[in-house]
Amino acid sequence: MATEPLLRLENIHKTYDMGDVRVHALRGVGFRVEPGEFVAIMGPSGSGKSTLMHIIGCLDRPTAGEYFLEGEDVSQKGDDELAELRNRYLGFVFQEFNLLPSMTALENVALPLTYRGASARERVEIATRALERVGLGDRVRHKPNQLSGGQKQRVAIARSLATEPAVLMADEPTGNLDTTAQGDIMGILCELNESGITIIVVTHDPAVGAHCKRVIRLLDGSIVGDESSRPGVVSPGETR
Amino acid sequence: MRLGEAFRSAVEGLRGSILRSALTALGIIIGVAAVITLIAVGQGAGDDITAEIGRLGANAILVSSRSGIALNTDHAAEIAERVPTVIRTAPVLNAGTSAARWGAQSHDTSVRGVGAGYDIITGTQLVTGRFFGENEVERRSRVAVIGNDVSEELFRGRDPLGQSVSVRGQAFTVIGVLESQGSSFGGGGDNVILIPISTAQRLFTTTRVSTIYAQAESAEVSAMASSHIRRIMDLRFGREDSVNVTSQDQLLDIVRTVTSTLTVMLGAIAGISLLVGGIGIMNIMLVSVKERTREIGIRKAVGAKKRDILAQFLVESILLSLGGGLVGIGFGWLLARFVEVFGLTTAVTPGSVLLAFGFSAAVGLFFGVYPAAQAAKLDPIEALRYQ
Repeated sequence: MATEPLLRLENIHKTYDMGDVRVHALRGVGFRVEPGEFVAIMGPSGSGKSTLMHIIGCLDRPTAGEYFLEGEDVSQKGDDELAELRNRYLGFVFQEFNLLPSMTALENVALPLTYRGASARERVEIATRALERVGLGDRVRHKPNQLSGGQKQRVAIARSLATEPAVLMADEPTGNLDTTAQGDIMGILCELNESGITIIVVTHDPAVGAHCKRVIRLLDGSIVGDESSRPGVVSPGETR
Repeated sequence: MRLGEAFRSAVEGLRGSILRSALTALGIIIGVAAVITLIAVGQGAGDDITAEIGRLGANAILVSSRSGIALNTDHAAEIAERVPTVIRTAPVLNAGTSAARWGAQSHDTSVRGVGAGYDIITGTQLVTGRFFGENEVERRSRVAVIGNDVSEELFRGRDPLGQSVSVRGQAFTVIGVLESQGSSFGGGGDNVILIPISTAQRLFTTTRVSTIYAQAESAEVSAMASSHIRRIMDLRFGREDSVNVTSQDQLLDIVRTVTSTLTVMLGAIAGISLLVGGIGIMNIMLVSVKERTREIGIRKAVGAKKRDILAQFLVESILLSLGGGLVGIGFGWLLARFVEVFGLTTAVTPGSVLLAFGFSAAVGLFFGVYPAAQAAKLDPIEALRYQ
């Protein structure tokens, strides 16, 4: 191992205690992601892909196993440390957009920056640039309810970009969108990946997976497939 | 996140439901207004009584009998004679309420028989005319010095001097009118008619006096004079504790104790409503945290730490209670003004304003901590899932 990859998951387990029943959401998942990759994590519902996303996204901790983000073991960090990691390394795009309805597009995009103590001017500057990057330079003063679904999702992408994250995590980013907007959003994600941003998409939609250079398939909490669609892309976590 | 951000997002949160915020603040507004008003009333009453006693004249000492003891004018003379630190004494007979008549006018007023020098001991001032002297007391003159109310009621703007007022069928010539003391507690105030003690004793067929007023040489010897008077009276009546001797200082002390107790009590009662207001804040903050679970989830997902969320909601509840406190202070002040219309003296002191303000801030902090802590410890995944 010459250099440490961007993400390294080693034998990750996650079990939930639901009263008497123990649910094994993840059973020994391990893979690596290098900078610049465009990865889809796919699987039917109940396969554990959401759980995996939460762990990669530092929203949750694995029950067992190790998770290295930029070489740092983050699998046993405290809540506030995880919050800081999310702010520093991760950007999120959710299926339900998750914008704050009372705030303008600009304020929504600037929100992550307030938690790293950026000055007001800095925040406006960065947020404006991020909105321009997703083609919403003319919608900065709009509130979410004045925007279409596709536009909302673009605001969400801009928000995830504002902190210049190491990884952009997208959870079913096109799940609530019509076909045109779906194409739109995937187009933006592809563009962003072209410009060098690492993206991990969690989806059950094969159309979304088709855009990605690498697809990791989950079933019942285990990886059942990890394939790169383009030759030449290194996939160190390749299991076959 | 800096405090400015917490402040901004708190204002944002409150603006999101203005009516609810206003109603929640109303609890605090009422509480603070009640504290301000009631403390003002208590303080005003205290100031009033203190001023009344202060009007007694410096160095005044009051001698009143205990049960089984009958004081008379001789005792007053004896005190004046035998206590070297006492300059003068004046016996006083409180003869209850009688009707005073002038022509067709009639007015119920309290009649007091007093000795010469009463005006000096009590620091009584006259608007017009003069007080009666030694001679008139000796001769049982039928002269009267009337209070402001009596003058107004009977003479209605006419000059009362030299007029003849009838009390219990006896005619008294008005020789003076007392300066108005304003509406106040006890002491008779303005509705009083003063006649010579000797005349009063004959009119009411008694030899007793209610109280003996004595004037000490100075405030320094007032305590010494008091104990001297007590000794002489005990000797005279052949028993211990025959009389109550109260100096003006003691009286002031007692009144101050009583009124400050009253003020604290009123304030505490009002404080309960402030407490209820605080519970209102906690209630609404809990609802708000529940409603904004998703917002909290989003904020946490993008990097908000526990203390960021805690600060946001805490600032929100403190803003609610401080805002309510400020408005409440304004309302309380107005209310105190309003109460004065009914003749009560009130005093809104900086102390009570500061107390109410500080207390409301503390209420916001105290009742905001629990909801804010609830918000801060939410799990981001659960919060994001919340519908």
